[in-house]
Amino acid sequence: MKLNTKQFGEIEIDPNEIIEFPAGILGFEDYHRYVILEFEDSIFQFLQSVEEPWLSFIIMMPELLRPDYQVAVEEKYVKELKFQDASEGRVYVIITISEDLSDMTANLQAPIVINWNRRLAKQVVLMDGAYNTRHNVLAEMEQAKANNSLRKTV
Amino acid sequence: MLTRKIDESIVIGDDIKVFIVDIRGDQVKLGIDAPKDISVHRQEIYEDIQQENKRAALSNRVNVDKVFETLRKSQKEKEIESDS
Repeated sequence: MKLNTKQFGEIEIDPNEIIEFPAGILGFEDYHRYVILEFEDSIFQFLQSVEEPWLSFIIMMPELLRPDYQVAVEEKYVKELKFQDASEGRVYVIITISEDLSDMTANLQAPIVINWNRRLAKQVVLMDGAYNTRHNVLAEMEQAKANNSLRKTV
Repeated sequence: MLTRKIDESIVIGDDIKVFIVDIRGDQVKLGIDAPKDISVHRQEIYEDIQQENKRAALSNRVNVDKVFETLRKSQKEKEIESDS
């Protein structure tokens, strides 16, 4: 089906790929349907609203910033997102960009948790205090790279 | 509006109970009993996340190409190769 987007103009998407957010995304509770657009050479993806052409988010996989990133699977998410198995889950975090790209931040405190099989998703708020809403992407990636090199030499 | 004293509580709907655990100066300690499928959060955290989502939403930013140029996977792979 054809989808109108502000960023990419009119694009073709598979309606089976549409992901439903029953509760919407915090601050955008009126919008419930999105698709994820992937780009071959990029570590970023796009979460594009199917309902509103101008509404989209840059997202990425949190493991690229924190290899040990884990979302505790709480009972309320399991029910709400109809999880039957942990392997059905995919997690992305929303990126905030600004003019100065070195200021890019990732919201590690409120990841997007998706049941990939069921095409159901929710923005989850992590309360354990380990993360905040603005982690500097470049700094975190450097740190992850440094930690990884250390592991290799040991 | 309801007025409660320490150890008194409020029931919301059938399943949610809020009780006053302690009051010290201007701090009130609340206890909340809610079913597992209901989230309970501090309002300021929710607001912070809403704000951040709004900042992130690409409603009027056109310069996404720049972002995608940075941190290209192929660049990253080259870096990893040269490190090992």
